[in-house]
Amino acid sequence: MRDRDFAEFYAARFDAVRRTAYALCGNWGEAEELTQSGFVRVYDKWGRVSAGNPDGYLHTTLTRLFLDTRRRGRGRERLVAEPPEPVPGESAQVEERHLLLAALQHVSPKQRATLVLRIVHDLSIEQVAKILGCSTGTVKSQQARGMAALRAAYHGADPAERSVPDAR
Amino acid sequence: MRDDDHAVRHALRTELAMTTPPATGDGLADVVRLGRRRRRVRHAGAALAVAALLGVSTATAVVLTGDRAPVADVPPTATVDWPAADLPPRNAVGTFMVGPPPEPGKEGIPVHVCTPTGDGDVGYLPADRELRDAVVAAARAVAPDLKVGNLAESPKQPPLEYQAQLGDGILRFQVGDYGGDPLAAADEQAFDLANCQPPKRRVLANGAVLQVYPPMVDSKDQMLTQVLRVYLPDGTLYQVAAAGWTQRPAPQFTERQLAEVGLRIS
Repeated sequence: MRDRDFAEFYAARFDAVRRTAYALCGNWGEAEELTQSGFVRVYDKWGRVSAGNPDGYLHTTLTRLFLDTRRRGRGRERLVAEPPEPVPGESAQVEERHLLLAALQHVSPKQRATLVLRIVHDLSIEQVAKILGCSTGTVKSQQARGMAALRAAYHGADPAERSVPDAR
Repeated sequence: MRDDDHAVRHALRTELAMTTPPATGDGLADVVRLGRRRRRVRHAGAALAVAALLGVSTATAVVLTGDRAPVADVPPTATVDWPAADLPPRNAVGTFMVGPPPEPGKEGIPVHVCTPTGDGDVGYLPADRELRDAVVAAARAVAPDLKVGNLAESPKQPPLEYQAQLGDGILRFQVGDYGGDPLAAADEQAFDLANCQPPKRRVLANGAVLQVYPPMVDSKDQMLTQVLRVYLPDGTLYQVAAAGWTQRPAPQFTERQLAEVGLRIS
């Protein structure tokens, strides 16, 4: 029964979770790893979380896994003012036509996580504060700064390719 | 949210929906396999706790204030008079002695160990600064003679745990959640810590349930640890633990002080 319930949960959530992970890290390979790690932790605690809020647990776990990887690999990830030139043939990175997703990768990890939770998942400020372990005021400021950074990166892209017309 | 924020939201969701993820294999099978392995490792850790308990049988100057033999060295105010949860005790898989060095006619305190029914850790939710400060303030208030530091996030994860100096020991704090009724959750988790006797319990007027477990030895660091769990009515679960070294005298919370911290943050 336990595994069957979990399998149903996994099947219903997998695609959305993988896309969320992709929005966070901008790389399908890493998104796959984050998604798998998140579901492994949910499986481990399934007996306990299934009766409560497994989606909340999954959101929290995935977000924290992402932030942990960025904390550990801070030296490897460098925020840049301008989007880098696309590398020919680098299909694992954010696709070139997805300019907003590409711009999102130029937002700092915590602001990025805030934007994904607030904008993609429509979570309340209180829910995001609980997931990130900060105050609601911090969520608001992270969101505002994240949006500003997203816009700056987005408007640095080719105007003809933008899907949001001069959103400022 | 402003109109242009809505435009960004719509565009971002559209882009995300239009991305084409690569095909994957049987991810569920891998997740289940890795999840089972993770659980086995965790349970093995619990088994190590039993071994660790046996290993402290010669520990000196460590006094348990459990629910078994009366302990002459512990002042009566050190324990709480909360009733034990109305649950049958479990059959021990092992017993160890802990306490002062054996002397003629004097023995240590027997502590019975049972197979844990759940997880000794609950932490996966972050605790904001305000909550951490409230825990520290409560600890300082109930133990003014003890040096209590500020709670900081432990670099070793999982679980997500906050730690602070507590005299010569450590104060540990974790936040998780639970589903359903607080009392039912407390019952379900009553034997999570390899304890054989049910925890002592108090139900507050606001519906929060507090239960304090008998002292055990933490499998991660071999420290003598007493745990209090607080089940808030909104589904939030706190775990406060006072840990002291087992190989030397370790001023740390008494059971009563630990319980008082729980009451102050409930």
